[in-house]
Amino acid sequence: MADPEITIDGVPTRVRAGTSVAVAVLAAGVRAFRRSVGGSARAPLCGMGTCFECRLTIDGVAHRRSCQIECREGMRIETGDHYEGGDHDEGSVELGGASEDSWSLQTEILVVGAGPAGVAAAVRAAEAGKNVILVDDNAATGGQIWRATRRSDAALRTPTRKSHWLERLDESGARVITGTTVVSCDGPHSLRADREEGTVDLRCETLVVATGARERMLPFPGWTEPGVVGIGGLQALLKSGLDISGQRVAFVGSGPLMLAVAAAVREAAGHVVAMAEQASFGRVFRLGVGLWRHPAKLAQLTGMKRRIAHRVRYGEQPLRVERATDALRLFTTDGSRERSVDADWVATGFGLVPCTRLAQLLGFAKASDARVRVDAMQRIVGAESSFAAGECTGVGGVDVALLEGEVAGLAAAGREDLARKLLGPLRRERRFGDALERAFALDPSLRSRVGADTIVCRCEDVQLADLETRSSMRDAKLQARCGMGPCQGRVCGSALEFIRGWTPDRVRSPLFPVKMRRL
Amino acid sequence: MRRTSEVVVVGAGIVGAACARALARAGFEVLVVDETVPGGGTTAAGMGHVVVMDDSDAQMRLTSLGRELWHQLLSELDAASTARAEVDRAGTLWVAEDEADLQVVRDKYAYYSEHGVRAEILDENALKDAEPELRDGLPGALRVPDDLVVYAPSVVDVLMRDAIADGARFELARATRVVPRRVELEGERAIEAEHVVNAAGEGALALLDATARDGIAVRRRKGQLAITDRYPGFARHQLVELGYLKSAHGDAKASVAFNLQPRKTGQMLLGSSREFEARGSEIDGGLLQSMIARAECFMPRIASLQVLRCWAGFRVATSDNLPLIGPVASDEGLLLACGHEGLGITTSLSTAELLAARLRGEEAPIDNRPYLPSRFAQSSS
Repeated sequence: MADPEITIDGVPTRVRAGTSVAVAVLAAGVRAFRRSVGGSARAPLCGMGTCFECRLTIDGVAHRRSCQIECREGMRIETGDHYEGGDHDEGSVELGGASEDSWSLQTEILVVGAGPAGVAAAVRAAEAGKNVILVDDNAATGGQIWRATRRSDAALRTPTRKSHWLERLDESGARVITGTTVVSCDGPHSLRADREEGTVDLRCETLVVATGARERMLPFPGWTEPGVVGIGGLQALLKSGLDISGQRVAFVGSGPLMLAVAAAVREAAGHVVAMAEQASFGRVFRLGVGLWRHPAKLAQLTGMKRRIAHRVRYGEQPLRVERATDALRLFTTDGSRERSVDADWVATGFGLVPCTRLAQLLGFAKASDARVRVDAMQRIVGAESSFAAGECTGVGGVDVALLEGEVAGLAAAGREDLARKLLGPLRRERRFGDALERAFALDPSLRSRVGADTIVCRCEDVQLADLETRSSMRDAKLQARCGMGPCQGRVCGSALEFIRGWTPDRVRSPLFPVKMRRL
Repeated sequence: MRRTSEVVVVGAGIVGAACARALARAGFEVLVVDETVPGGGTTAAGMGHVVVMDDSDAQMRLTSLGRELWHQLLSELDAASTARAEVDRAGTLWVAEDEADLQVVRDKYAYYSEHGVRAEILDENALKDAEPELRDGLPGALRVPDDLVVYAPSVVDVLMRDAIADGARFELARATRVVPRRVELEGERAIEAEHVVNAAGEGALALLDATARDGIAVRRRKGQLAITDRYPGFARHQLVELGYLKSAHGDAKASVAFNLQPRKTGQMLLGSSREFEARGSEIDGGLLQSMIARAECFMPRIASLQVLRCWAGFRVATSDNLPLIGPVASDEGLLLACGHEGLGITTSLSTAELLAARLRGEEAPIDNRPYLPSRFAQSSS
């Protein structure tokens, strides 16, 4: 694959093959990708296509999620994401007729989401002799934890388990379609997906939902500054080609993901200058002690910890981020003492939230459900014969996701006999996942880290003070526009669920913004 | 458990909130009940288009009065409320597709002028100047400059705030039945009052006993909408094709008409569709696609805009396309304020004015007989 030449605001530059547009723009030294509704500078946050902060105009089309798009030869990228009067496809005649492709695909088993769970489900179902289609929004398979690594990332070791499963996927006969986003459905046997060239209508006998989880962001003063990214977001950017060598990263948030990404930063020759974990040392220590039951995990976690030069501070919460001359300054507190550290990146995230929106649209989950509920065979509760697996059914880590995927794939293919054999190992792996959740549960005092003038809804620049008199997420949406932007409440909804205890508003189609003619 | 109030308004949508405000201002003790947040029902699903319509003289008078009261209300708002209400004095363009439509434009112009409603005929060039994204070849349009666009849920918030400042109260509660002078709520509670105003929109008729419903038949007409990301300047007026009138006042099982509203945020809100006998509020993909195809006939590039969200709502239509405003069976203890089809926003304020005048014992600002529920009465009283 040749390294493409692109232009960024008219300036030509050559990037490594496989680099995402977001990473290319960051590497070009652009700090502000676009301006928010209120005029403040914005840059990538989640790195995985759910926050919509990385939007750029690409080849004349506005509002495109640059973190999800790979650079291609001749691509024209413009920052500022301003409206240019619609689609500027030069040379294409638009007089109301469809000037786009559309595909109609039929299969026995459709798996939505190609992270570990989706891959395992697709493999098992295909190996059991079924016709399988595996579809994913990202440019390549792997979801988030196995996000496509690039050849320059020798330092970021490719887990052998990942290559094993991806090879098996290649050989299984399952048809894999990436860069394709499910946007709407007409029941579980008929889904519509969107890709750059047009629309894909997917018909199936059996559906497996493996839509994963996204990071929970909690607002604090200054969190909208360019350079403040998610922890998973930073991992995604690294895997999409970001060169972080010599740059300083400060972590503030919660969860084992922090350790993993800090290790990745070090391996990529970055400097970890702070790690602020909100969980108390006591809770995490108890998890460590309990890990004697899971020796492999113990090795994994302590192995990770050893590679990190800097000490983790427990019981530490974010106070604010300020922009210093050539850096971001992160202020944190342990309740009595305030600290500050300078960094090029502040990586923040407070655990993972299952992505249930497709399940909701199908009528298989409510907005108030924390996860998609399934039975022992991964059959969705309340659905006749649809399945779900992986983080969307509850955050449990990659081992749980793989086993759940296998069970779902086998059960969907009518091989419950084989699926049953995996239930024992699955139960054991789930215990570890549950222990993790307990250890890293969010401290209620984090709620007070949001200031009155802290932006809570980034899409619409809604501050906490604007929500003072609001009684519910729906009320906040109708009266203060909170959740009305492109991310449709993914970021602010999860934050307010924790801060105010508000149930997110009902999901509506399309699940992701889509060109009107493709609805 | 029983409680009392002078007036109970069932429903805190735009109509109920307007009634609450008008009655509280007139000195009545008002309690408003709704099962959801004020403005959170059908009001939130609609377009917020304040528009004068000419299906009949009675409709013209009610919408005209409504629009006049809107201008008055908006002039009283402070800057912050005006911003939240996303007030846009954009005006309406009734767009002609062909020569036949152009004749309709001329007739409309004459009728509007007769009734003191400012209007202007645009020819092909003037239309293209006014709206560059419209396709070439559209022969002209009727421009109604004093129509406007508001964000209705936010206005409901303002109306309720005013009502509460005048002593009204709001309670989150679900009504199960209304009869003259009494509202029954979920949980076996009831409220007694001198007057009950049923402004419960979609659910209004179901709250009534059979005798009260005497002769009144309404039909639900489902409508679908799509809102885009921000594209400021793509459209400047509310654009409605003349075929909209056929769709709105006609009887077809399902119909679409081009109706596009630019919002102050720069988002484009696209309607419209009408569907009788629709079951639930899930989006009907086929009808949505028809609506989009119709829009493309007028504005080819609209289909390239990114849509953030689609939703559906239900309008309630009577058989003569006029709302129900007034007492049931000449009993002032139960008044209806519902059945507004697609004109709930526009006529909310005139509805409130008619009811307030009635309860104050004053003369109505316009002839109220065309809207009286008793016009449908079949039994002799």
